[in-house]
Amino acid sequence: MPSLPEFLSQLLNGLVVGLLYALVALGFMLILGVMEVINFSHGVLFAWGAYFAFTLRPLIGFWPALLISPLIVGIMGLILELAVRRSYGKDPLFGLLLTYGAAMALEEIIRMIWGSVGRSIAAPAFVAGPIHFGFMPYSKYRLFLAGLAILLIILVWLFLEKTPYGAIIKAGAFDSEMVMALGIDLRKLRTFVFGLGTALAGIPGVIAAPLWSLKPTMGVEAIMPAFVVVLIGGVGSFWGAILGGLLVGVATGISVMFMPRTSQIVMYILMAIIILIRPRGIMGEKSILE
Amino acid sequence: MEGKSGEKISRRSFLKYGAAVTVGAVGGISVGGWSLVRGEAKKPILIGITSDASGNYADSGAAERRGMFMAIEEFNAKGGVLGRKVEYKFEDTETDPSAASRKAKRLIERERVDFLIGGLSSGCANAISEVAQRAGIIYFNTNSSSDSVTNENCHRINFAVDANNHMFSHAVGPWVVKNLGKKWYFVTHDYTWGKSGTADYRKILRAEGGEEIGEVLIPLGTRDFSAHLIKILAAKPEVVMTTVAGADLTALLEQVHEFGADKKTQFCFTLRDYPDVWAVGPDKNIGVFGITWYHKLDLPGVKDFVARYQKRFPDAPIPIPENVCYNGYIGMRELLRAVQRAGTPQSHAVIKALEGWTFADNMRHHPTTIRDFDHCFMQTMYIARGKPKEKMADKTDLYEIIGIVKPEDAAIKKQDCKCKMEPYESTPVYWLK
Repeated sequence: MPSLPEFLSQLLNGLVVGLLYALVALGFMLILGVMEVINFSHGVLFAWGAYFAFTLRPLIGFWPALLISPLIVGIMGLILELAVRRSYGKDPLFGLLLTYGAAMALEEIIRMIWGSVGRSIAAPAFVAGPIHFGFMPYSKYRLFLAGLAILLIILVWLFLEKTPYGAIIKAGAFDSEMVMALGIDLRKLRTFVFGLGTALAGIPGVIAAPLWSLKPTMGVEAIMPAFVVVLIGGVGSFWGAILGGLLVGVATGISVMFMPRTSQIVMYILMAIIILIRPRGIMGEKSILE
Repeated sequence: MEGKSGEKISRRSFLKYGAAVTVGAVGGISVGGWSLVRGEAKKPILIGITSDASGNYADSGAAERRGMFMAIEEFNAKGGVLGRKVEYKFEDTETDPSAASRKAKRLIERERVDFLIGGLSSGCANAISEVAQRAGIIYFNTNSSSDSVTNENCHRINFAVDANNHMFSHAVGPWVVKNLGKKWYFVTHDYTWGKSGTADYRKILRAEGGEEIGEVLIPLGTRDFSAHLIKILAAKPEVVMTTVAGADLTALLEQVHEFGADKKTQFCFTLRDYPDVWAVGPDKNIGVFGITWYHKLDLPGVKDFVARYQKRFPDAPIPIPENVCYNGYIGMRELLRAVQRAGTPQSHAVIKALEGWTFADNMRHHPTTIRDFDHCFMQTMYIARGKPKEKMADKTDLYEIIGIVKPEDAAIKKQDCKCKMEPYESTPVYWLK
């Protein structure tokens, strides 16, 4: 039976990792909800964010790299969107296949530029090393990462809820025809959302890099949890994505305490249970996935 | 006859092209026939390299191939083997046993290679070994370390270059119990190699009167060890005996450092492949572990080998040859030497030339013998520790050797070995004439 200190540490750690998953899922969910595109390249763009940080950080420092890497990834997203727009209104499978192909190509390009060898990047010096809670050591960097994730989530929420652009985006998700009828350029909107969604993939890439180290296939390890989180939390729901992320993180941590071998599949078990009870996910709305 | 643009092909151009094709065909047939007449002497010896270029062991795969290429080039520079040039065909086994099986079959049936060599993941090595035995082709397992490959799953055609978990655990285990602590927690890579390592260490721990306080299994490809580390630290072990390798080990070392776990307990590793540590750098190079070779050993041949490597691979991601590369080199070299000794690439003759062979130019403290009953290369074992930064002679000096163990003291004894190799009569003869 695990002790209370262990339980609390696993809970804390689960929430921290869960916040990271939620952040990754957010961008994915935005694109899925607004544009009804299943963006399979989301994971590899997460990887690109990490690799850009790896290259830029020694040159310009942590904070500038954190700002610039997602911007570059966002631009990559905009370019990708030029191809993806051909699939709008058609079977969502087309978008999925296109972005899947893009994901494979982008992963190969990572190998071409940075090689297949694993890379390591250290946590920035001001948050390196452990912090001691009396009963357990924990990683300073993870706490920092959690704080950053919470800040970003709040910023995205503020953008969606409190700005006119956010309102337009949400309207576009709900009823794109009406948005067009109101004179808003749907094409520009969709391009912008795609860029925003992909930039939101790059950011967790930058902050997860010191945690999980870099390798070309790290995108795959990000896309699957993102997908699962969105299905658990529900498509189109902002708080669903956050909740889904936290659930996945905590469930994985708890499973390590009792049955470590199931830790990798526990998120899929959780997803299966939730979809059986509520097919739309916990807070989901009607979407193309139906 | 109509050409693409709808014009008829003129008789002139037909004659022109027809003549060219005929000359080409006649020339090709005559050259081919000439080489047929010249016979086997022209045909190169083709080595099938089954190595990981993707997956958990991709970096180590590249390292072992560098060693193999060096050995091949050295032989070719001296005229090849039996007067024949040595060439190779490489297939990526993807750190996945089913891919390894497929690629090995392809090399045998489609590419028609004379020998198979290369292996990091024990799962892959086992799979390749099965395929090889059915065809009768010799397989050199250069870098995998699970015991079963030379124990209950041994085959007549299989040769293991790297030390196995039995050797690592018997070299390192007793030292760790005496010097670091008796309360152990096991971290096991969840596949054949990891489990065999933990099983071996468990036996040693029990024999030395120690106590096992827990085990955690790590699936291949685990990225986040935070939950596992929390669980391990909560149990308060004196020693964490870890059998994890590849990219997963790199991530584990990162996170051990991140949590400061190495200050709370002693991390030990069954073995350490240099490429995994090179990726994390000297700050996270913690623990005590077993290794089979180090580029700073003060022995004849080592400095020269390092210099040859650096000349041949000036841009390699790892600037010095390390244990994985060494095994690739020695494995390839001894295979080719055996073919030379046997006078033929015929498999039974080469196997007989390998069994019982001893060589001293192995850049280690004790000569290496290829044992006849299990086909293990008897390697000198080294106990090493991550070198503190202040003591490093240069950026590649990551290991501090703290013990040297004779191969016979670490290897499994014949009476305990469950290896029952197929007799020669039931092993197909493999010989591509």
